[in-house]
Amino acid sequence: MKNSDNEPEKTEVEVFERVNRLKIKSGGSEDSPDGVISAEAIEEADQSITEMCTDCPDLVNKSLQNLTSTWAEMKENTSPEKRKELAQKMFTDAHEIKDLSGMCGYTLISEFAESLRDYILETTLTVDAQRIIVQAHIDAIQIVHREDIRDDGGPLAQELKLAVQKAIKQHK
Amino acid sequence: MSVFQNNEAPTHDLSNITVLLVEDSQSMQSLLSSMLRAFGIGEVLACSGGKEAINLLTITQARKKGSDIHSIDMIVTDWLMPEGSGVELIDWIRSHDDDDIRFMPIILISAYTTEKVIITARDHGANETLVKPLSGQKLAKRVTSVINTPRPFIKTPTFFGPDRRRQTMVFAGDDRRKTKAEELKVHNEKL
Repeated sequence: MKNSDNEPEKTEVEVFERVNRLKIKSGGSEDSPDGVISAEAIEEADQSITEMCTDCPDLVNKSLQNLTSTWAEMKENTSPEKRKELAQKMFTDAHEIKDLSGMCGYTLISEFAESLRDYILETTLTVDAQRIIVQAHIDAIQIVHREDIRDDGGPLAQELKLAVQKAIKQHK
Repeated sequence: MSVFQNNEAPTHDLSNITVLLVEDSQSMQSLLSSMLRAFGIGEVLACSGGKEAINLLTITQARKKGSDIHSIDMIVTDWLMPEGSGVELIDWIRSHDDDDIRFMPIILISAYTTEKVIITARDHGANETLVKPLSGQKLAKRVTSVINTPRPFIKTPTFFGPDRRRQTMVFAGDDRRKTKAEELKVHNEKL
C-alpha cells in the first residue's frame, strides 16, 4: 500500500502474541521455568529405535518383496490408470526401504532406494529406457540386501554404484 | 537449550497432550508413535498423509465445538508423502480461519538436509524442522522447544507463521525492516 507518491511502499505486519497453552497443558504456567523431557524418557525413545533396527532386515525384505512383485505387475500392464496406481505403490515401498535402512545405518541400500523413489516421482515408467533404470536400482537393492552390505566402502558397493550410475547416464 | 533433566528444570507432564502424527511409512509411523509415547504424550493419533490429516483435523474441530472432546495440540508430520505432502498440510493449516487450527504448533520431519529445505519449511510456517535420521534427543529437543519457547506469529501479505527471526538480541547494524516496531499491529491474547 502506498501512503503518498513520495513515501516507500509499506508492508502491513501483524504480530500475534499467544497464550502458551501447551506449557499450561504440560503442567506449567506461562511464568514457570522451562520444563524438560527426562533423560529416562529419551533413553526409552532411543530404545524404540534400537528395537526397530533389530527387525530392520526383515522389514526391508518385506518391502523389497512388495516392490519387486509390483514392478513385475507394472511391466505386464498397459493401462495408464493402473500404472499410476502401481507407481504409487512402488514409490511407497522405495520410500519405506529408504527410511528404514537409513534409520538403521544401512546407508548404501538407503541411497539406492532414495534414488529409485525420486526417479519414480519424475517419470511415467512407460519407456523401455526408464525400465532399465528402475531394474538397475532394484537389482542393486536386492544384492546389497542379500549380501548385508551396510555402507558404500567395499569393492562390491562401488561396483553396484557404478552400475546404477551407468544405467542412469545411458538411458536417462 | 538442554532437554535433559537437571535439578532446576521441572519435567513436562505431557499426559494431557494429543499429537497428530502424519507419516506414510508404516514402520516410521510406528517408531515415532513409540517415541512420542515414551516422552509421556497422552494420545498419538496417526494418519498416513496430508489429505487424511486435513480430514481428521476438520472432523475433530467440528466435533469439538460445544463438547469436551480432546483437541489436537501439536502436529508432527513427514515432508514427502504421496497423499498430500507435509508442506501442503502446513499451507492448509496456516491459511485456516479457525484460530485453534491456524496457530497449531508443527514439527516437520525431513530426510533432506539442504538449507533450501529448512528455509522452505520455515517460510511455509513450520515451527520446527527435524532432519532424519531420528534420535530421542533430537525429537525431544523439538518438542520442548515448541512447548517452552513458542515464537509470536507474524502475518504479512505473503507469510503467516511463527516469527522467522529466532534471535531476540539487540542488533547494532542498520535495521532493514520495512515496518517500524511502533507501526506493528500487535494482537496480545489474554486468557
